[in-house]
Amino acid sequence: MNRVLVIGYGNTLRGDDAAGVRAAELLSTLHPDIISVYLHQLVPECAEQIAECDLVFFIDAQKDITQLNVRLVAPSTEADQPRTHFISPESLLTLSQQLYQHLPAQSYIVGIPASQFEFSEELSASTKKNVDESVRMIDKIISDYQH
Amino acid sequence: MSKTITISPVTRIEGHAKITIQLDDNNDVSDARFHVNEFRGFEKFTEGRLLWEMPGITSRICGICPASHLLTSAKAGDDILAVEIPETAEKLRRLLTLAQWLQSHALSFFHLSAPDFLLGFDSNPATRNVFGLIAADKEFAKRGIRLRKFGQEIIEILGSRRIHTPWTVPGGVREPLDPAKKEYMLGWIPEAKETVGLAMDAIKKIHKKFAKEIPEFGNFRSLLVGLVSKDGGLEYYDGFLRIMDGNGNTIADKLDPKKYYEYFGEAVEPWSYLKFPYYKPFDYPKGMYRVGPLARVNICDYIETPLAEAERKIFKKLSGNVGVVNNSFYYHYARCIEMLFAVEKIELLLNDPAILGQNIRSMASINRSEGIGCTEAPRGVLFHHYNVNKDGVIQKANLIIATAQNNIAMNRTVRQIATHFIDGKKGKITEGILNRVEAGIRCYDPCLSCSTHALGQMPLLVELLNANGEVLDEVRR
Repeated sequence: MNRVLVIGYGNTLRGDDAAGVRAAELLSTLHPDIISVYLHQLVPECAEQIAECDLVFFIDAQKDITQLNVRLVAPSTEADQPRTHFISPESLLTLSQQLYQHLPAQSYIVGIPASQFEFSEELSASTKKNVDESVRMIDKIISDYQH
Repeated sequence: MSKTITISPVTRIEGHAKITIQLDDNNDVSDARFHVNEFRGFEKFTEGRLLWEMPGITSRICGICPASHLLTSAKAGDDILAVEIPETAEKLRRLLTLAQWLQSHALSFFHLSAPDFLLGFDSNPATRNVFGLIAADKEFAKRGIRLRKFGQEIIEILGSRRIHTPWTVPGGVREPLDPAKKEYMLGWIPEAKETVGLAMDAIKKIHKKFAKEIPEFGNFRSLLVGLVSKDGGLEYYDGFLRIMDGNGNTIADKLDPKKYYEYFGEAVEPWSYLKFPYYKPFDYPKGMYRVGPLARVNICDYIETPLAEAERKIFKKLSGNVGVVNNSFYYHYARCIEMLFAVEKIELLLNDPAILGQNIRSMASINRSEGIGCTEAPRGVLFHHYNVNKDGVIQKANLIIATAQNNIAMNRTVRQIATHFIDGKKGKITEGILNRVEAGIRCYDPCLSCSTHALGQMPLLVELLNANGEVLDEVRR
């Protein structure tokens, strides 16, 4: 079995910012065999876990988009300097490669359209729909990859 | 015409901030400020929620120090329930506090500050980061990640999750410790001790390497505030407040943290969302004080673990004749000493038979309408103050965060570094100098996403001021 890692991150007190976390929770129910991680923000030690996996998804809420944004991501140090609070998926992949000499075969960023970031523990209706859609898309990628 | 140089955001600290440096007509620094831009309204958000939910909610304020909010919130809850928690619960909470210190300090030292120290303030900014650090010393960078991971694993083991765990609750904790997990954590200790030893070696080399620059890194007298144990030892979970002045004199001792509002006021400045706490008897801004590792290691009479105590004695020698280490650069050394203490004390706690006790929670209903919790978060003393109704519904919440308490001192540090390093007569301000200004802020390891918690005080305002204080340009959003 290929190891699949799903990292959903965001602040669950800030409305749609929790979209990534909610999607990861749903995926863990759908695929009990995958590794699901729920985080407030990406952190450097994620690199070690990434280095042990073959297929990785970084799922986050994204502003200023209207459609689900699913794209392959490669290691890079250009996207940001690691600032810990804002360490990017690209930087984490670089850390995984440089520290542990391993890159997953495929890594994806999944941006879920989000618009409401007020103090709330609820997703907006549109973001909720997009979370469900993201789960369907990720589920398909996982199934295709494993077969 | 005067110029304002803006560095925004301040890289490698938690959250968003901005520094402005104002130059006069001669290109000399006339003022420098540390602005906090990020705005959060968690206090207002918690009104109407149940007391028992508060640890889980407030721990979600911040992704870097959730356990500190969790613990402090639970202690405010203990106060409202009017209970004394069982011995095992206190020891488990202490374990959690130390794990929080360890992971947070490891992040600050190995990943946020080490690139400046090991690669140099003037090195290429594109590689003056953790990747440059890996290229220079891969093992050191890797060790730092693993030390942080150890702290995070303890938090995860105790709370089932790494962040936002509701394991600590008013009255105690929810679950006892599994003996197998205790053994697993103990298995980490040798590596953790070795890694902290590497950090300690590194910091001493750093002191030598930057000996000429260190005196300008936030070197001034201020009050130092923190918790100490009943007999004056380094404290992290309970105890009394002690206040020391910049000459090493203890000016207030054995203060009850639950009366914090009698000692500290909060000033507001129009140019920052972050409040400016001060020591009331000295007024604002003379009542400037520092909290966190520098304060804690300075004010305590001893540290209970042997290796950390030996380092504390070396640390105190840095004070010369003054009796207190006033230089903010030594926050880093104090942080390393606290990492060492944390590892030693975690081992002691895990080997204490009481840690496996099954009596972990005191049950009670609402017995008081007001409660205050206080612990030492990695960045300094943290207060949660709640008022509830008879059903335990939050009517009012006030959170006083460590980073805010260092606010006056952080501004003083920025001004001192900018004034020293920026020489207008040379007509050039290098990136390395700007990085030194940022590094001054990084001494305090501010965590701004949880500090900016006041609701509705002002819109975000960006001003460009000339030497006469006249607004040249202004932006509101």
